[in-house]
Amino acid sequence: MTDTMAFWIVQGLHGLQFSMLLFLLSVGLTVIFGLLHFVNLAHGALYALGAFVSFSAVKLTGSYWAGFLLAPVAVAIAGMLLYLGLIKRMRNAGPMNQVLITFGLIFVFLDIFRIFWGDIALGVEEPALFSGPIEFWGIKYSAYRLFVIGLGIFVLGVLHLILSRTQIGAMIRAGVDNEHMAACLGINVEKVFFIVFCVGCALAGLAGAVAAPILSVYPGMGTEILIPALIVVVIGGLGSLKGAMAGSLLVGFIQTFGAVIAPQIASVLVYVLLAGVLIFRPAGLFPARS
Amino acid sequence: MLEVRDLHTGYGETRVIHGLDFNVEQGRVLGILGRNGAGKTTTLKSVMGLIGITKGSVKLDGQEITGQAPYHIARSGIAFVPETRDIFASLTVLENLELAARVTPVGARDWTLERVLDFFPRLGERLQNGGNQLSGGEQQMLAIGRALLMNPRVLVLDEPTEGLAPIIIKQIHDKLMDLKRDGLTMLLVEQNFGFATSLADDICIIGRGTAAWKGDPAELRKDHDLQSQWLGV
Repeated sequence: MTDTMAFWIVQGLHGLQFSMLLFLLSVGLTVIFGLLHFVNLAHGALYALGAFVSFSAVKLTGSYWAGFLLAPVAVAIAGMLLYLGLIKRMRNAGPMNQVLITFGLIFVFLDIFRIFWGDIALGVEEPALFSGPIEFWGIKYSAYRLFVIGLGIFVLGVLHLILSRTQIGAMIRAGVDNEHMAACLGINVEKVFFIVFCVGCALAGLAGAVAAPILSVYPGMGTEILIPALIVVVIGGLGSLKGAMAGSLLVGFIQTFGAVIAPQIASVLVYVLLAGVLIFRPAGLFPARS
Repeated sequence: MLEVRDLHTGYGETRVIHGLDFNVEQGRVLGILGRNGAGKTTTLKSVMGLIGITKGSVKLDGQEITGQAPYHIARSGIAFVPETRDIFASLTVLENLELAARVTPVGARDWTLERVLDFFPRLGERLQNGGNQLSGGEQQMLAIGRALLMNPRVLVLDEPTEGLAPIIIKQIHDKLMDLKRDGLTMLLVEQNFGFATSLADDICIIGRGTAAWKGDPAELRKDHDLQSQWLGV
């Protein structure tokens, strides 16, 4: 079976779908990194929160789309509270303190998930619209996974347009380039940071909601995906949209194809790539700051 | 117009400025001179709110702006052209300008994009270029053009001649001269003695963290003892 064309196409689609999930998660992480110079290790926990919220919303309403819409909003609100309560104070506290605080948050969230949703993996149904496989070129492939791929591309397009064509996008790029000069042009950089942080959190929540039917929902899901997401950020280059997409594709495809072609060394491959990038392109493949 | 009283500032434990006074008067150009490391840039950054002030006050048109956030100070009408120019590399020339034009401080909208491009025609040819594709002179023009688009009440310039070829310095000088004739209030920090004394109406020399000498540029140009004592010219 492994030598048929269809098999490789399916694996390619799997890789693409995993990449898009990583992208939704890492894009918020990288922009927050690049703009606020803030290492938010709790980003994975916010993704898990999105998945749990979506699980409960689906259970209450019976509709996948309730979770799909509610999760980003709920996680953005959680992010807002985190920012105003903790992160804003930690802005100038240095990376060590920031890492410690957000690392602590991971455990707080883990316990919150256990208390409210328990320790057992929960399932979320795919939406009726995308349930079952689609057939094309003689291949059967999950319609829902195709939807995830489409969503990732759509989000990339929207973010690209906002960043490159709008004034708020120019302000964000200016803030990543040089925070002080941006402030000297009358830009309230702190407010821009806040908006970006909330949007990043909303995307993490969206990623959680979207991942729920594929990966099931359990407390540790955030910590599990945090490492690949951080690797994506480092490979792609801090604060760069292009970098987040390129890094997601690389990590997504290497993990997917590695598991098929060379399962013995699959888990090492991504780290080899990481080491290579750090040696030859320490600023990442597409650094935001040139 | 821009009044600095008893300014104390520095970096952490290092006190750089202690007890500096100066006043930039409406429609005039104040040149601040001093040796390397005298604290000229530190003073400007403190005025812009980029460095915290330990003691003293900064007033614009009699309004206290001490301790306000940089974006607030910028919006109240002070435009900054930093020593490093700080053109946003990931923005095009046009975007750099548009970002500044967004700020609408109180007062007339004298400077429009058209007028800035008229003033620096070179920028017009470069509008779609990235901020990282400009020569030093073009960067300086963009930094000044960007500041003008904020329609400032005071234009603050930190060493506009640094690292530029003599012919470009001459161009920048002429442009700033035009702005001066236009009645724009300016605060100019310079190492280039000739440039500063020909442009400024008043001079303030910073030495030992305070105003070591204040007076007329013509007077300073004649007084060689003063120059060697405070400037090493």
